[in-house]
Amino acid sequence: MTGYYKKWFYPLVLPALILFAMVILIPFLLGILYSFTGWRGTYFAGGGEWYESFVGLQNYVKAFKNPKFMSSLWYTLRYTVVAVIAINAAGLALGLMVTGISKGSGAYRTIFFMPNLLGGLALGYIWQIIFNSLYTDLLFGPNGIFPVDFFSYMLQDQTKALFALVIMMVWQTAGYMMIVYVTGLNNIPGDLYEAAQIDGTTLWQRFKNITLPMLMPSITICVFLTLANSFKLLDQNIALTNGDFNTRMLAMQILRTTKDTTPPDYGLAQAQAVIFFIMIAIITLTQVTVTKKQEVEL
Amino acid sequence: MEQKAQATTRRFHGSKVVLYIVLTLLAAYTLAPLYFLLVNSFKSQSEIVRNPLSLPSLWDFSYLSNAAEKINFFRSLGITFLITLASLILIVVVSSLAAWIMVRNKTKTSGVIFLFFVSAMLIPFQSIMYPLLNFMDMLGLKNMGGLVIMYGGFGLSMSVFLYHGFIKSVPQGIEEAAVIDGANILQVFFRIVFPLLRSTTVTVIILNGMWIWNDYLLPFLVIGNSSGVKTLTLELYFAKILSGQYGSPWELIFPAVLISILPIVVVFLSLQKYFIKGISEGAVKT
Amino acid sequence: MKKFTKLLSVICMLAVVISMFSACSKKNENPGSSSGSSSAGGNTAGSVKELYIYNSKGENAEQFTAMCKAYEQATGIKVRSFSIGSGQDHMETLRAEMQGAADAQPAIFTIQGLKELIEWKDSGAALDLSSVTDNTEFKALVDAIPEGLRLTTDGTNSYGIPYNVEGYGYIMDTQMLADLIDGDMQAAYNDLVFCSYEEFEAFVKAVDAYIKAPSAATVTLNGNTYTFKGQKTGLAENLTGVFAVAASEKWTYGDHMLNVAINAVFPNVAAANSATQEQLDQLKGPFSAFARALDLKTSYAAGDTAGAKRGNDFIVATNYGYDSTLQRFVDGKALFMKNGNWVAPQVSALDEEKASRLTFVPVKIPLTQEDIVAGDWTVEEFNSTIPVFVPMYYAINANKDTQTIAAAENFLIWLNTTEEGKRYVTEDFQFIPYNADPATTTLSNSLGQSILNFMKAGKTLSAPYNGAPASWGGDTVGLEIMEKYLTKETWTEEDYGSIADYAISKWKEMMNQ
Repeated sequence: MTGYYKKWFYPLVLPALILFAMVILIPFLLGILYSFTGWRGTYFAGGGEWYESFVGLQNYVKAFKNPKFMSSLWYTLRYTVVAVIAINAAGLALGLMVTGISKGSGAYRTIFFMPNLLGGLALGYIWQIIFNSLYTDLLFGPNGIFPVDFFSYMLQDQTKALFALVIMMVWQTAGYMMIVYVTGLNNIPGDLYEAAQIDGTTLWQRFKNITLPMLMPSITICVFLTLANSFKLLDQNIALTNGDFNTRMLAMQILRTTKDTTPPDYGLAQAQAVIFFIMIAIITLTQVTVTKKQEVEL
Repeated sequence: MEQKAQATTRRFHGSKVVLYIVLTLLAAYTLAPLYFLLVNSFKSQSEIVRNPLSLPSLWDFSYLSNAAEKINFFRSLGITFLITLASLILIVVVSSLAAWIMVRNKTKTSGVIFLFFVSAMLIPFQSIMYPLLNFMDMLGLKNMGGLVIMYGGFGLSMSVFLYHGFIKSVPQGIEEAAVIDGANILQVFFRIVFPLLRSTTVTVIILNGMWIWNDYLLPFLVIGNSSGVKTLTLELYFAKILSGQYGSPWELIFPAVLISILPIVVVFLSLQKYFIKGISEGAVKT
Repeated sequence: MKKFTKLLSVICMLAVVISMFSACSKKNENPGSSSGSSSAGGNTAGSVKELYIYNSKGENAEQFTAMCKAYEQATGIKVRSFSIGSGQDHMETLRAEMQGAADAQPAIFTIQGLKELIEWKDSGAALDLSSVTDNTEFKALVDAIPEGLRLTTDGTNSYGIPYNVEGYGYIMDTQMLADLIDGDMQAAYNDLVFCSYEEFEAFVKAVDAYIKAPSAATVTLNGNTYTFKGQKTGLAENLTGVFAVAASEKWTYGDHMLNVAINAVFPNVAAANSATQEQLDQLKGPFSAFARALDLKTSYAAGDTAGAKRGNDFIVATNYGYDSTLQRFVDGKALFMKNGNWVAPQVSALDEEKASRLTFVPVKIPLTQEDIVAGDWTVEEFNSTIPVFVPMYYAINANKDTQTIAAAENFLIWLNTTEEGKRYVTEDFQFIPYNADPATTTLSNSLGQSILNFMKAGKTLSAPYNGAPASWGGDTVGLEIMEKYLTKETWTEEDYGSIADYAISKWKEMMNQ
């Protein structure tokens, strides 16, 4: 039988390999190549072919010297830290709550999941109105019901806008994480809680000593998902603030680099994209290793 | 399942009423933005600008029908459906076959290839976006077919990964029996193995389908405007940019967004069991 | 079975190799064809399948399509057009269109000035129209473009046929002025055009006082005294402020309004494009004057029910975005709105009557005589002129085959020289043709006519703003003003200076990038 499978290995794996090579591998390698050239999008600066337009490491040096790139890098990191914590806390809280009830649990799950169905652009436009009309005019602005400076004009300050983006992303993605957490919660054997209850433990003790450790696999997954998504956030960033008040994040910076100059500097954009990839790879791999290690220890 | 749920319930026994209140408030908060979308789909531009929060003074359906016309609703719906369907078929067939044979033929090569697929999950779209388009253009694939191929490529990594994880737990014995009975390799796979993978297939379809349906950047870059065929999101985008120099034609955007999300909401509501199952299984295997 | 396997894998590998190969070879034939061979075909356009025109002006999309249909009927050549809003991602969309095989690319595309030309010139996509010699009619059309309007990098080449000319200033409803002031409205309008900045400032403050509490106050314009009506009547009744300001749209003050100040130092695009450090330092005075004028404009802005104040609310798009600002102006809540004649169709759609009464008052800034380095304007003359410029050009795609290029040439001849083509430009698009003689032309739309009047009098500035570094105006200076100053209730002398310094230092910084 092994021989049989071996014989068929290449024919069956080949379609996937071709698809992979065409869509991911070759463009990825081309991208690395182009990041060393004066690529202009529809042509190469100073020559017909890419090798005639070779500029060495110049694009990378330019990227790190570019204040817009550096500022978007820090902003992305700050956002990612806050968003990962907030989205997971909210998702876990929702998960605990919907598993805490039996009647109507499904309906709540459906509602909480709904925002995931919307595309990012449309969503951003709707939330612009919400932050202005609801948060500022009606609730938290100077003339609102409970004036809170932090929640008014949230899109007009770098830090406030970061939290505005977090609020919106929690709204959109907490329901998704909730579903993953619910699965994890349902896998925790009930007798563990019963035994603990007999021992007279408090709710918090049970959460800390049973739920959390048992939930570690789900946490790994959810943190992985939110980490990558937060780091790569684009549509919502564009639609909500469009980068005003220094709120450009990395993905948007890469996209906008081609608009910052004429002719458009696609080579520089590509160099930033390569740096972007390396960072994502490092961050997610580190995270997976760290949390996986914790799972084993517990 | 039942027992576990009950046990979990017991943990928060006393606070049930509070729990319902909190959940209901959160549900209202979750639905509020959708309420804005709904009420503003029936208002004129000046009414939206003046009273974005209130109910429309008149439930005027003309904005919806105008928007449907502007974004060629039925045509673009059909196109989006076809693209999504074709991409999903491509992803499911190619990745399940590859994953299956990689599990069954455990060699070093197979391991290396698998690692390749999985590590590609780390590549952000922006990193390859520009060269990808350039390359596809060289191949003469800057068209609908190319779009399907690109979705196929992007969906591949995760799907191979999911199938790979599941197939490991599928016993090999039946396959051997079928081979002895004289079935060819494709018959073995599609008649015997594939039906066993149903739950993973559902996951793959849901996870990929959701983003392919809503994606706007790729169709924008690939199809752009060169042909009359556009996806829903693309129609939406062009409807916005074509209708004013700088302003935002809200009286078109809101109803257009509303009707463009209706199909996927309907699909979700009728198949939500699969959505939830798909997502939780997809996550567990990651 | 084994054979079949091998065969299959060989086929697959072949497919990959072939596709890669064809990719390379296809790429090779593309750039080469762009030069030289382009204008060989002459004006026989018989075998052209379709003429694809990329129009980066969204406002006239419908009329543009109709014009293409008319051309199709007149000549039998199939024309397809695509129009996209000029402010949106038109460059990205154009790039996407220009990346495909030459067959699918547009034959005619539009370029917004020198800044965008560089990309298409370098890539070889823009045809140098001055190299066309075989089509005499087209050559004549190209040669006849007035020197100041030519899209050129060195003075001899020429990459585009002007789309039209446009102008901007403070748009005003003449009837509203008549309802505000006793006596001859036309005389009052003329004096508004010619008055000094100081008189204009006093007028703005007087109108503001009148809105708050109407009285028969007097105001001096250009030396003549006018008296306000004692009571609010007619169109003056709805006024809540003097200016309709789109404060959340950073380009409205970062582009066009700033351009007025740049005119004091740079007479045209080319001069600004090759600016020296010294010249940029000379902008300090004009930019401070611009900031002062912007202070005036944003201090007396109209809101929905009362005057608008600078502050956080002021820069929220849902409050003071482009659409709501236009709506406010049309509703008669403001006397002036800084905008161009391109807004005429949008105003018509909201209020046709009002659109027919509109006219321009120049944007005035408090310059001193020393500030004006370019040209020999006096301060008063400078402040009674409006910028008039070519917003974009039709360029021909050099990658197309010779027949298509010939067909594109013929189309542009038809559009700019035949009666039918010209009728579309002036009546359907409501444009001012670049080749119109202001002395003999009259236009049916009032804003266009107002610009013609300024042209007739020789009172026009140009658009050196287009020579500033990319993304310097709205995205950098405009953004800074929006974020730091429009949220601030009062501005000081220092603020005027720091706005000017910021604008200059950013120009210097971005120029070298």
